[in-house]
Amino acid sequence: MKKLLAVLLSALMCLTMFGCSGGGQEGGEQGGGETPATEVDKATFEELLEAGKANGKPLTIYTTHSVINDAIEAFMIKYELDGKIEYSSTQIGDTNQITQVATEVAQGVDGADIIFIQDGGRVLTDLVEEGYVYNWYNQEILDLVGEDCEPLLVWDYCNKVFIYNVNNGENSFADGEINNIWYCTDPQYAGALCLKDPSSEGVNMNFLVNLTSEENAAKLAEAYKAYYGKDITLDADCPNAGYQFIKMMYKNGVVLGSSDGTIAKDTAAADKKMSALITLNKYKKNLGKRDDGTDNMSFAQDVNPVAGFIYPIYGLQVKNADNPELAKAFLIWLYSEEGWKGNGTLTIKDGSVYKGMSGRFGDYSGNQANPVVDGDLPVKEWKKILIQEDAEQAAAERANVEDFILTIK
Amino acid sequence: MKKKWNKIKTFFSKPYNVLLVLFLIMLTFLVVIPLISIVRDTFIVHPSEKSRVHQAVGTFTTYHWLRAFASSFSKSLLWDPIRNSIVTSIWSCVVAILIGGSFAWLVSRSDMMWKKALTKLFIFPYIMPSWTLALAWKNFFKSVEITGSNGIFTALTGLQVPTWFGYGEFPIIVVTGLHYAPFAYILIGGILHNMDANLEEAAIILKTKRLRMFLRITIPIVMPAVLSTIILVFSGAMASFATPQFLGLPVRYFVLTTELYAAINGTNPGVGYILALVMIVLSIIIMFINQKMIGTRKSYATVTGKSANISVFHLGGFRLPISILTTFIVLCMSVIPLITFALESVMMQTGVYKLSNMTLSFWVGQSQGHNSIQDQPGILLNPEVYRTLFNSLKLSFTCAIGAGTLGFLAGYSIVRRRGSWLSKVVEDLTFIPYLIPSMALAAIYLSMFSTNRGIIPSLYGTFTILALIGTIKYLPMASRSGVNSMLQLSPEIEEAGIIMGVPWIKRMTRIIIPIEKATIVSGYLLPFISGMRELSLFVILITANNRVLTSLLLFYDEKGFTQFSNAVNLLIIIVVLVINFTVEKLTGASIEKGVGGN
Repeated sequence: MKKLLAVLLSALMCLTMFGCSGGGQEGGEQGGGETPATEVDKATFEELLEAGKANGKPLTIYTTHSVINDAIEAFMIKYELDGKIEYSSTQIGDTNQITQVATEVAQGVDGADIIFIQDGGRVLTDLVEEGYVYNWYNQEILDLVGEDCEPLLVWDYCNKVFIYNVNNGENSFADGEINNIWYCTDPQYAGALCLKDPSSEGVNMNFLVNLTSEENAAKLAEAYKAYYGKDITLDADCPNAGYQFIKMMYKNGVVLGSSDGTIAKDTAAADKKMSALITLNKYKKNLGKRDDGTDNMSFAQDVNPVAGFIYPIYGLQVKNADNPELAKAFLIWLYSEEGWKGNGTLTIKDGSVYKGMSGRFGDYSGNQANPVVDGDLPVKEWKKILIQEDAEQAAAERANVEDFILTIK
Repeated sequence: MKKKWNKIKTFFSKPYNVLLVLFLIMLTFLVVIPLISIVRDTFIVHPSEKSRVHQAVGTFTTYHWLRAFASSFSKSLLWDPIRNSIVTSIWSCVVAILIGGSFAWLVSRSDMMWKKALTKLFIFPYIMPSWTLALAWKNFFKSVEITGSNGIFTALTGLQVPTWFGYGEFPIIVVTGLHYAPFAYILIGGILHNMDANLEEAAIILKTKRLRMFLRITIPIVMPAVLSTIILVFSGAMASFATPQFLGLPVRYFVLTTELYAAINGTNPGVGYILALVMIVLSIIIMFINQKMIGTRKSYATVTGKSANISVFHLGGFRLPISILTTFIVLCMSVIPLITFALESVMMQTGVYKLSNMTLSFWVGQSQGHNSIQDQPGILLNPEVYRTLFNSLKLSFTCAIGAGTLGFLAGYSIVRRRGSWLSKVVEDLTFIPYLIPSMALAAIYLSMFSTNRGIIPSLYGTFTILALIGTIKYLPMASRSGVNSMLQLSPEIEEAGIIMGVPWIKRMTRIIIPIEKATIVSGYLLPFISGMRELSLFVILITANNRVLTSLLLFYDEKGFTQFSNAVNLLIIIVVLVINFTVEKLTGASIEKGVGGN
């Protein structure tokens, strides 16, 4: 073992002597600055589609959302490209996608042409600022999506709201009981809030980061007064009410989970007052009935100052795409009503009719003209009661909030 | 000069010397350089760290070391997880040795009933993926205090489980200990089984009391196996990720691996690599202490002389109660988890343990659309499941061939040149991958092989990189098996072949391999099983085309598809068990032999 250690130490010395010098990329001191606006591409859908056909190279997609897997099949079949141009779509979580795309582009390895990804904070710093992916849209998309084209193009919005168990007597919440976000800091609700661990769910971390912005912190301070009947007193380690909220929430026993779906199941089955901050879609999927026929869960919409948050899944182009034209044409098609929810006749490979997002709660097109499911709210209504992910602020402040959580967790 | 040349020629005329030199080169490239790369990664700025380090990507920095060891975050980032990792690892060793050792004694030295069936079942926890018991524990002892809902135990008994029992340090220790208890059983049992009964008989003649015999004869004899178990369990527990993640996260109990995972996936991977180094150093310290205590590490299993007559301790009136109690414990470790997976995979709503709440749709049903928890076909109708199952089998088979063959050859050359520095260095190098946490090794392989390295092209996204890392990670066990098998074989047998002028290949294929067949196949079986249930080693190296069953399981788990993930988990276990027992039946190989038992 001594000899082995000697070998290791010698090799280490050699490596540290030349291994860590330089090699840095230019302009590395970045992170969370204002992202320059994207130039609007003049190319039209038809032109891009034709160029994509002429290109003929495979189209590869990475996505955090499963619907894209069906959508690309529908698109290729509709435009008679299935069998002529190879294509694949793979569902990969945002963290793994960031690692994979960064590695593939940096090393010039074949990979994705287009990605659909959440966690704007890290996408900006790790992928966009490094030049691995770029924001792209043409006039057609700009006309449909408007201001949500910047800083990163929104394809889909998802929302996370406070859900809670109901109709289980004293062991559940009453409707309207969750009306102020500070409830989860109140000792009477100790351990009654569960959310996916922010260190593994980027959008949750971004939400906490966004709460610390001056604007949101001021709203939280007002809500604190409304809930506790006195002005907020900040601890020495809390620069504003956003940090104070995070600290009090952690100290009050917030439960960290590993997935929104499991959290929803546990909340539905809870035998004590239990609430969670999870996607509306997972709420809907796990909504069940009690023996008396009543719902076992509900969600809060009237919460001071915010009832949760709404975050985008962005559609972004990869720098070394094989078939960027086809990737762009596909992106444009996704904003159409047909791309969003199908046309009732478009059949995909397994023989089923392509339905896209039709009937799906908790997903909202970047093109707000596309319809939402009956019983759900349009995205502009959700935006009024939820915090919208601010990717730039998240990118700039995320390290500070992560460090802060380290000290209180 | 000529003398030197002749010396070199003579040296390389011996096949085991050639093998040792090849191993030295290969392991330097595949083990030492990755290890050094980890060190290097603790001194550079990674892309996700720009906004916290405020330096260009790739430049030199001491930020990570200062942050880990000398900042206000050191306590929560480093010291608390170190404390938790050490505590859980040490106590896991205690649990593994107590349970595995007691079981070994009962099987080897007592007249306990149903030994044959119980020994088969006792190995289950090691065959099953490491997170299996953790998931089962969670399903069983879920606490209303934490998740709001009750687990199966409360549903059956009406008794509330205290939080400390369901989550945190205690269950992590118990579950990790149970997972590694088969190690203790195999290693300690191997010695007890072969222990020379004359020692005890002499003590009986001298009218020595049973307790004194146990303390002065049995314990000293099994001590090398106990210490070997400590190394394996401590290192394994230290590198364990899934169990502390499942059972620690809800109550925010963090260990080094969970901090490492958060750091590497978050905005400070540099600190993650420091945590990986800390884990390796702690395991090496335990190895040093162990070597000091044993004197010299001859092998992880002590092969003693065969005794024709092992004295059996008669349990008397306690025979039935002890047999029933042991059966109960073994069933809790091996069969109950499988039942909980089966149960959780057919329940529509969590926590509602009624027949009306059960369905087979998650196994054989069609997708019910976007707003249903069954928004994809049942796993037996899902082509993705079959594709990933095929990939898992292909990868595990390749890793088994790679690690098994290299392990056997390493064992052969190490034993033949035992005592030389080359043999010692190669033996230590083959064990080092066991000490490197899977996730850290994967991160390093990702950065090492995603670009051209000399004649080696970029391996990123290929099946080759998965096979390569699997082979290296499972080499320690395979080479242990190889060393053990060669230690049992007297060199005279091969020397007879040499005198007769039989070439090396023929000596291997006609003499050594046939004699050691069962142990060699066991050296292949262990990497195969490890590959089938591996997750953290492959998870960041897997791309779209080479997904395996465990990565599909992780995906289902992350998405909260509880029923699907339980069904896939059960599928993995069934496949592994079927293959394990088929190989056992056909070849006489066994996990016990693979780990180093007899």
